[in-house]
Amino acid sequence: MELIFPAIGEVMQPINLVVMAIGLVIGMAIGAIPGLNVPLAVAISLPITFHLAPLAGIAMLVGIYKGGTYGGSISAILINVPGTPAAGATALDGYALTQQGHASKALRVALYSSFTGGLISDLSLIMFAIPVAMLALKIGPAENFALGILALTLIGVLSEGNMVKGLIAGAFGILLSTVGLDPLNGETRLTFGLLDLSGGFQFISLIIGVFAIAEAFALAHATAGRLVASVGQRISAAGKGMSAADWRLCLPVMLRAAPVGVFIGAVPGLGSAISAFINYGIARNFSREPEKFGKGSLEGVAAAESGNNAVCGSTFIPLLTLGIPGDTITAIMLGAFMVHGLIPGPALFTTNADFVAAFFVAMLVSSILMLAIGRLGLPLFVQAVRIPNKVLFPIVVALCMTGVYASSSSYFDLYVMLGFGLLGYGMKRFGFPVAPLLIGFILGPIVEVGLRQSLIISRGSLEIFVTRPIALICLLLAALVAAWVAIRQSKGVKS
Amino acid sequence: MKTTRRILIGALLALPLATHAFTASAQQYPAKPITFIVPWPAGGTTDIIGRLLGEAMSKELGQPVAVVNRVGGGGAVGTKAAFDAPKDGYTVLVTTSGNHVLTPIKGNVGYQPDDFIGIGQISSRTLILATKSDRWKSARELIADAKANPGKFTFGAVPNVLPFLVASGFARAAEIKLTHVPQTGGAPGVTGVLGGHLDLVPESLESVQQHLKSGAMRGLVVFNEARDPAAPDVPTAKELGFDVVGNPWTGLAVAKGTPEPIVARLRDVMAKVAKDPAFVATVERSGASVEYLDGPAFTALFSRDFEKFKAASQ
Repeated sequence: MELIFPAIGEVMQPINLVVMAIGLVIGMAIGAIPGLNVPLAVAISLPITFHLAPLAGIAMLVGIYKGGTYGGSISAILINVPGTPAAGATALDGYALTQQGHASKALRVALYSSFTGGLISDLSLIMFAIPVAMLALKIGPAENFALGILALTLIGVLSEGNMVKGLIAGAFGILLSTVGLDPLNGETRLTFGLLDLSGGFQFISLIIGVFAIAEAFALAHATAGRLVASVGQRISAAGKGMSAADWRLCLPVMLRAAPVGVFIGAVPGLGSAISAFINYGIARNFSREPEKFGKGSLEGVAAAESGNNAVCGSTFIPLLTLGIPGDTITAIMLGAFMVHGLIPGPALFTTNADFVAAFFVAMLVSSILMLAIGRLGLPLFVQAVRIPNKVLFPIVVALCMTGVYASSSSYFDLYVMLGFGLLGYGMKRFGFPVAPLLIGFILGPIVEVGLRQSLIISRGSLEIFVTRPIALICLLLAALVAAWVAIRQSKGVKS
Repeated sequence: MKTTRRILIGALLALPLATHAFTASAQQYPAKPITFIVPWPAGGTTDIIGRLLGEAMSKELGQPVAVVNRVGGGGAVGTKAAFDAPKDGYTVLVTTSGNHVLTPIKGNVGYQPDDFIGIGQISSRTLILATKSDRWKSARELIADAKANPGKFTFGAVPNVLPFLVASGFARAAEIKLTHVPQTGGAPGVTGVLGGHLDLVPESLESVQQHLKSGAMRGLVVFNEARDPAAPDVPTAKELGFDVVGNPWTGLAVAKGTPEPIVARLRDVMAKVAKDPAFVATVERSGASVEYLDGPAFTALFSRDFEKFKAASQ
């Protein structure tokens, strides 16, 4: 505790605040531009930070990371383009809200949820780092498989009322995720001999395709067929901010999503996109108005944004306490720590306690700065709704193309994105929900790798899923959710 | 008047051609920005080394260096892109033993190791077989225990990468049976050992060094010709009587057919950067270490390692 006050003094030095703010602005821009991803932004900025003092350099990277995770929601809500994979869940309801003339409200919910989720995550990092890390280490292949299965049951939750099409979409998502190199033995699968397919489909091409490009196709079709009906209609007003009733609706959702996100962030290999979708599913399950999900639910935006930002602080738990990077960004941050002579791991807390304290303060300060910068930028962002669709969507398509090309330097990924655009358009026309497709796609590899690794370790015995308590609990919960969904579904059909 | 305008337009149109003729000459090299292709994801060891080299070399060359990640197919996508680019020295491959040698062993990817000329090796890493510190105290203990319990103990590694090859080579040489649990990357294997889900992990020394220092993990054997000064207590496989050696390397290469003077210029600049103490210090702080080899010596590794690991992977 005696370390906190000097740490506050250090973090509050103008240089640190300035680089942190620069990092946040860069992050928000990168996050909001489709295709440009946050790991790439952090990797490119890493050499720059070598020339800064350790705290300033790391504070800048933290700013990019947090700003980027939030920034994805801005374009997801305003133009149906999730700037980052984690904002895919935000686009599901956020864009519907914009179409209904509630852009301003949706953006506020996203900002305040991001802040709340991020802040709770930072506090968890500061207060419970060691116990959470010990819990996260217990998550092995068997637990990953069971967690994945539990999360997959959310496809059922999200498909209520449209069960068959939802399950088809979910299964198709899992199928898409198997294309490319087999994650375990490196053999190519379903690539039809194309070298370009050996890397598999990129999640960013998939989400930009099924959201932005599909929307552009729908709009083009509507215009060409003079069916200026419901498709692509947008009210070009931003609407009002959040009312007290909106707060009462969203705050519990934010607070519930944050701990789930904290846990997911602490487990290496899961990440913010998974947290966003899982929290979206959970929120629908507990909502009083589940039918609004996908059609403009504030709760959906709150759950997704609180959930994905709640990962930002806790991904540092395994990094700082054990020296284990949980995802690409923390792997890059590990490099940044090492360059400055700070070796993450249990020893860091004793040898560099003053630095750890300053890092904690920097995490908190960056959350507050993000709220301030995001709030200042809000009136600017909402101007996007005033651009008419026929001007906006050509720009959006061009942005998506350049963004995806800039991050992958591959024409093939552009065709893939356009292909997914057609897929998304087709799904929309024939009433297939998009969320199950995305959930299947991100969870497929986790379930597959977990199952295969577990069975190799157990030498083919299924006992491993019963004898390990966390795995067993998750599988039982999964069965419970499935049964519950089945009961609700059959009741719904009868009535 | 009309003729003057025509001549003027003609001259303007010819201008790009003239500059093109100039850029083609090696004396003018580099006349435009250079691209470094990294066939591995942003933020990994190769990417960081590539970016540091790019930054340092761009100062010497007087042109910006753009680092581009072309990821996929075990590094094949980026390597093939560097091979297919114009052979004019403006596309340089940041290459590793993985994409350069091991990926072509696995199947036809459209290039062979010898399709490239080495500019120089920047680093070579030590591989170590590590375990949780409350398990075996030495490689001898592991071997005795594994002989008594064939197939009981697991090691986590990405299939067919160098750490996998040395670990399975070690098991074969020591006549023990270890169960391979395929991993999706190096870091998950280390996490698996720390979490008690795996018994052993073969990894680069720098990625487990902090766990060795903190006492969470123990190194049993390294796969070098001689002991690594950074882990002086860990014996080499050779000392234990097993001839298993493998070092993953990283360096720069250009496609064969690049003009000789351009290759020479790149080699000179890289040599200068690699010997610059400030550059060496920056790389070392990022957790890697500089092990410079000049162009010809590095090029010689391509076919040597191809033959060596082709034999080992069969």
